Amino acid sequence: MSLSIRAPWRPLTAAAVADAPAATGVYELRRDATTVLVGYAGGSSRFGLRGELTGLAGAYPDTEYRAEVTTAYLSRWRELLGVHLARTGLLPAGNTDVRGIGPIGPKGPVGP
Amino acid sequence: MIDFSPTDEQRLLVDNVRRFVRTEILPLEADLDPDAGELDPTDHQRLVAVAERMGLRNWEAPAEVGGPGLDVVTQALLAIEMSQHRAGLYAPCYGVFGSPGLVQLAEGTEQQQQRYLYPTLRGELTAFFGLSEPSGGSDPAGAIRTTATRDGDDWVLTGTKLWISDADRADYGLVLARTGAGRRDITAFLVDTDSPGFTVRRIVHTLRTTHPATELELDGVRVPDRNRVGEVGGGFALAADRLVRGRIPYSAGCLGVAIVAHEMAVEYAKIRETFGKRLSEQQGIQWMLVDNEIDLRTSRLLILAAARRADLGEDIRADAAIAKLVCSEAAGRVVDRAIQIHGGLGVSKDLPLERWYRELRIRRIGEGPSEVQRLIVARHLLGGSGRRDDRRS
Ligand SMILES: Cc1cc2nc3c(=O)[nH]c(=O)nc-3n(C[C@H](O)[C@H](O)[C@H](O)COP(=O)(O)OP(=O)(O)OC[C@H]3O[C@@H](n4cnc5c(N)ncnc54)[C@H](O)[C@@H]3O)c2cc1C
Repeated sequence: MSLSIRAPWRPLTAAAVADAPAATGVYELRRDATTVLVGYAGGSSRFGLRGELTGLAGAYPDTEYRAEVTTAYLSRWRELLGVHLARTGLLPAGNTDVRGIGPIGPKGPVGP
Repeated sequence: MIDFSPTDEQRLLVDNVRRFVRTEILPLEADLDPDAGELDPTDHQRLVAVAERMGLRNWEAPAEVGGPGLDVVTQALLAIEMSQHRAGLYAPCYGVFGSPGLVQLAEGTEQQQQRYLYPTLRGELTAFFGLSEPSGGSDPAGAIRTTATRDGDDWVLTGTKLWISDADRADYGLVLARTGAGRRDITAFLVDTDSPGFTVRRIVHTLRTTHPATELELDGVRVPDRNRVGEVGGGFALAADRLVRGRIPYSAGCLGVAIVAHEMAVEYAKIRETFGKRLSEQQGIQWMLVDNEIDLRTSRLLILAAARRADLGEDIRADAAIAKLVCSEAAGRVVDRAIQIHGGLGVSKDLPLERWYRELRIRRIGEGPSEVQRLIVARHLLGGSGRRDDRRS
């Protein structure tokens, strides 16, 4: 499995997320090529990724998203945060309150 | 016939922990993601303080290092209670009583205890246990390829570890590495995760999404000799000791969730009606419940028998192996039957059964798979492993 989400970036608009899967999984939001939030649609999310992303569409204008369906959403979420930390030295702006994340994968900016 | 009735003190402790799970853990858990392995930090801190007041913080630690110094039977009874909630198998009470740490550090040097053990017991540091490798975990003495080479006052560690739980968030770990060519030439080292050359390559996503397994790379990681735990070549015995001791609470955790699954199945069978009768009136369902009861009672007796022998200072390798084998497999069967009795509801995330079902499957592999437990018992019965190189070690 790739360390990053492989799905293409799409605009975070109500129309674009309407066909996002109604399943558990992880997503990433970026603005101006900077990841601003890594989140997940967990086992009690209503309508899974579609529901989570629809809820975020208004709150994060001018952003793009990419998502991945997985039942291992918590460990994948933690991995994406760890990968971001290793590459940039920081957590995304929307995740700074998350504790216990360590770097995962190569350090420094690599790949998409 | 051995009397396994709890003493008054044990009964009091068990009642306190049971009440704690029901009044503190279950209400918080109701609002968490069904796969969550952690509490909100504020709740965690509050409950750690409660655990301290109960005198049960770091309940598995011996008295010499500041733990309550409970005997193994009492520990087993408490482990059965602490796991009786959704996250209970791998995050009993979300760690507020302390996480099962590296207890063998209680036998480490004074310096190792000051630097690693006490901060871990205070909740300031977290650790991983690095034994398994891509070349195999069942037979670590043969499979470990990670090498440790002496260089002046340091050791230089190089290799790959696989399946290592929680290493991505750990401050340090106990790493087993090869220091010679023989099967038993394995030595244990305390490795800081911020050491140059130490990388968490990825998380290995499994059926368990909390406390995830990781793949680690050690590329020339320098470790001072003062971080060697035990003798050179003593690592295998140290790891084996950790695994043997851990099998009793491990088995008890399996039993704990199985008890709740069974209670849920009994309750549901009494209220659900099909074909004009309650499920509890259908003989097919009654037999499932009876089989559950037999699995639970067998598990409990094996755990307590192993724990009692441990308290008497006897060799419990075979007893712990039998308990681990039977309890992990029996709990899987109990939860499977409970799911069947609940029908579709059983596999939904509305109930904890599906999580226990997934996580219990790992219990038949982690900390020595069922086949390895059988090997241990066979060795106990037959004497030695029959391997020629056993005589060398
Ligand atoms: C979620 C998870 C977390 C883990 N966390 C840790 C951790 O924190 N630290 C750590 O060190 N390890 C950890 N492990 C590793 C675990 O201990 C190993 O997976 C386990 O020991 C088995 O090793 P293996 O997977 O390499 O299987 P192998 O050793 O390759 O064995 C494969 C299968 O063959 C069977 N087998 C082996 N020998 C025989 C035989 N002689 N006869 C019959 N059958 C045999 C085994 O039982 C197993 O079923 C974790 C594993 C998982 C899944």
